[in-house]
Amino acid sequence: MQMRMQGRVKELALSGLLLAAALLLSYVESILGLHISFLPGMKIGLANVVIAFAFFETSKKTAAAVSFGRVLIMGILFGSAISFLYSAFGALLSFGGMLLISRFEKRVSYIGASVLCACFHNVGQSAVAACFFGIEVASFYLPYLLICGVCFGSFTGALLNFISKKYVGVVFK
Amino acid sequence: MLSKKLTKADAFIIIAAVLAALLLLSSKLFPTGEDMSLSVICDSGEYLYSLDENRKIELISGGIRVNIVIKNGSAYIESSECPNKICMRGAAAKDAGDSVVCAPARLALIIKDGGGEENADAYAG
Repeated sequence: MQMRMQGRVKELALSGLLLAAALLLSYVESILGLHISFLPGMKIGLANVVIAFAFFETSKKTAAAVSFGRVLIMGILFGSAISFLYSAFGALLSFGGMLLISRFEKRVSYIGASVLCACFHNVGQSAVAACFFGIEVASFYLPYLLICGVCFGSFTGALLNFISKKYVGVVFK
Repeated sequence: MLSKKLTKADAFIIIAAVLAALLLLSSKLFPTGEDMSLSVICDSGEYLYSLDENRKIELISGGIRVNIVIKNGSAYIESSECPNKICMRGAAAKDAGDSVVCAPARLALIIKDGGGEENADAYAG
């Protein structure tokens, strides 16, 4: 009983830690202005490093909680209703991408997983843009967003490969 | 546990994403070359303007004042009261399919093929 309780406390503490890291990375990204100027809302997606790490190294439940918590808190503190919608749909599709990848885990590395999730995230955001501005605007931005998804997804995937090799043991000690 | 090395599936995902992007871009790379017009989509509807005439357009969308400029066949957002000003930093839209978006104002500028002079200033929303 006590062991189970300890396990839950540890899981809760780890979720809080991951959520704090995701929020910090989102905030740093927003204040540093790491945006692509002609693509509204395009970001490197450093927070997704934490979400993907949580998904593949801890549990799907923890990753879902961290992802939802990050979108909600960033939306309340720094965003608007519209930016919340963009983030929420992007995060939802990105999570769907991770679920898809989890079916082929051994055949895919973090780079492929990150690229797929980044592209799914961008498709989700384009779907929201299509609702507001029509399919024409969304289809104008989508190819550029997909190319950025490949570049930034590869970068965050390489980062995840490095982190998972070096620090998984440290986190779960 | 994910693979620690690059796999064929990774390459497949990357190639598929790039191909999808190129496919979507292909329609933009081969415009029809007809007269082009500017479509302004905002919360009150869609307005069409000719790109042949230089002009300034001021409108309020989503509670945000936005100034649009049409100059020498291209259109851009000169100023916006939105918080991030990302819309002002981008390149001007000039080719068919180009667009500029101000998400907080729920406003988009899109260059459309055809519909130039005769549809100028038409209200379609």
